[in-house]
Amino acid sequence: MKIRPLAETIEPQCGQFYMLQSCDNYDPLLKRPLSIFNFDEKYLQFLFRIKGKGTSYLSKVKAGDIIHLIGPLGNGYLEPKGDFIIVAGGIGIASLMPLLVKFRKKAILFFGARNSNELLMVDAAYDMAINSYVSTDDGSIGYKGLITDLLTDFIKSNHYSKELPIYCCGSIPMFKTLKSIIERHNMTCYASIEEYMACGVGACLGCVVKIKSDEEGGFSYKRVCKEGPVFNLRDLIWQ
Amino acid sequence: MAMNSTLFEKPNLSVRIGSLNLKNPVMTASGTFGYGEEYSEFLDIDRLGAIVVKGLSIKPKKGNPTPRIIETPAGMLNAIGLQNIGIETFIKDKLPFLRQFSTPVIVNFFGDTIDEYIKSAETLCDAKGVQALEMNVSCPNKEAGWCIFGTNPETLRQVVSVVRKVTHLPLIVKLSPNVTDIGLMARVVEDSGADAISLINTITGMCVDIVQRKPLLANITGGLSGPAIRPIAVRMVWEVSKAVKIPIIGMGGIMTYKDALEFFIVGAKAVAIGTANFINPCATIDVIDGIEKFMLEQKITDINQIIGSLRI
Repeated sequence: MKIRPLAETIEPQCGQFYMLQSCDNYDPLLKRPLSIFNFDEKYLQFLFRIKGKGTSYLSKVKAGDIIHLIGPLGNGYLEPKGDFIIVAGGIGIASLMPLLVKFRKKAILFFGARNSNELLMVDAAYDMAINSYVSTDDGSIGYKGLITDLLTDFIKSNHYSKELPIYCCGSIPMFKTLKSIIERHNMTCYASIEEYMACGVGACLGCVVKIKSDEEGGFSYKRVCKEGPVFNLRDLIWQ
Repeated sequence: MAMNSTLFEKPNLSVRIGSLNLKNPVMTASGTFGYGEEYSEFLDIDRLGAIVVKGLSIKPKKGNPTPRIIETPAGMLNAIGLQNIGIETFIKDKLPFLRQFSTPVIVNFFGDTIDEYIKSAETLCDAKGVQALEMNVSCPNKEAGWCIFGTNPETLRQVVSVVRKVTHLPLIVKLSPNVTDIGLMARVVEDSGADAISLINTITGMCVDIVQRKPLLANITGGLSGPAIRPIAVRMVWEVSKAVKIPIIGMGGIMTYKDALEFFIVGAKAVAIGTANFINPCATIDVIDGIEKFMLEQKITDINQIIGSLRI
């Protein structure tokens, strides 16, 4: 979806997001958080999967319709200084695409999805990466299995890769596997996290995640919308 | 000509809540506006009638595990679990920011025990820049099997009376709607010395995943807010306005100025905007502007002419 802002906007950083809404009939009531996928001086572009009512309404927007949006919001990716690794799971590519665009031919891309239909924008991503590894759960394209398997093999056979930062966005099982990989190899990984969100500006405290801390219990809750959506994967705790 | 000039005069929107003077009757609802900073880049804080900050306790609170929120038709359920930075940190880190505005700061607070309520009120009373207190009585009482303070007339009387004794600030008590007779609770609060009543807090609700057969919130139940609860809130404000003489701050699902006007007509002297802030960060300002425009169109010169004007 391509949107032309009607008012002057701030240029988004890679990994930031917007809160969007296309209907005002109170069902769904809340805006939907979507990562910025692409942008230029004139347009903001979003790539999203239809998951429920909100995204379904957004998918039906026609040229000329008005969409309400707030953004750019949150802390995006810490920009890479040299080459880096991208690990994208399914629609997670939407959040990582601005990095591929801005840092052309600097990323080694690992892109996994359930099947070939969900491997969105894979050709464009392929062109912008140094090289690409692709997997699907059903084997319809690339390696049959998990993208984290391909990453593990790559790290084993390319020792220099341990020095490269990883940028990732995907499902919780993918994050969990990645976390064990980076801990094993002492690597750095920036992960963009998704949570249910009401306001997007840090007020509702609905979108928190557990982050390692010195506080009682060894963790504190941080807001995905404000302190995130990008966190150091090492600090994230899942129940 | 003289008539024309009076027609275009700005209507009076100011109201009094006890000893508190508000430039307009629109405030933020606790828990939906953070500590003000979160929204300061979207709107002019000075335009608000009052700011009610996120509920505070003596000790900081981590809050509940996630998922904490879930959307429902025309509403949302939340179980944040009263996460807050604690009164001390609030006074040190957040209050200086709020002090720079002319808008009164109302601090919402709660406790697990009566003693914690007393300590909270005492500490907040001494803090420079706090103009009024709003007591949340919809939280569980640690010393009485975690029963909700505000759903039993006796515990409600007890906790409001003791807090009344330790603070000279205007004391607002925020009622829980999860009771059979809201008018009775309002009378208890008035008799116990409160200066004003705010209502309604969220209505307890629940959502279930039908495949997993599990509650959708980690806390199992949560508080329902948003336009879905507005008619219940309007009804309860009306009942309370018949039961007590102290001012009422009405809230519950206000999205527009039209919603706000319903509350004034049934007797609210001020309103608070809650969930609407999440959807439209400027919702409070839109409501203020909408009320003013409506009054101009209807040739109403003073908001007090609308308050409690229900015709039956």
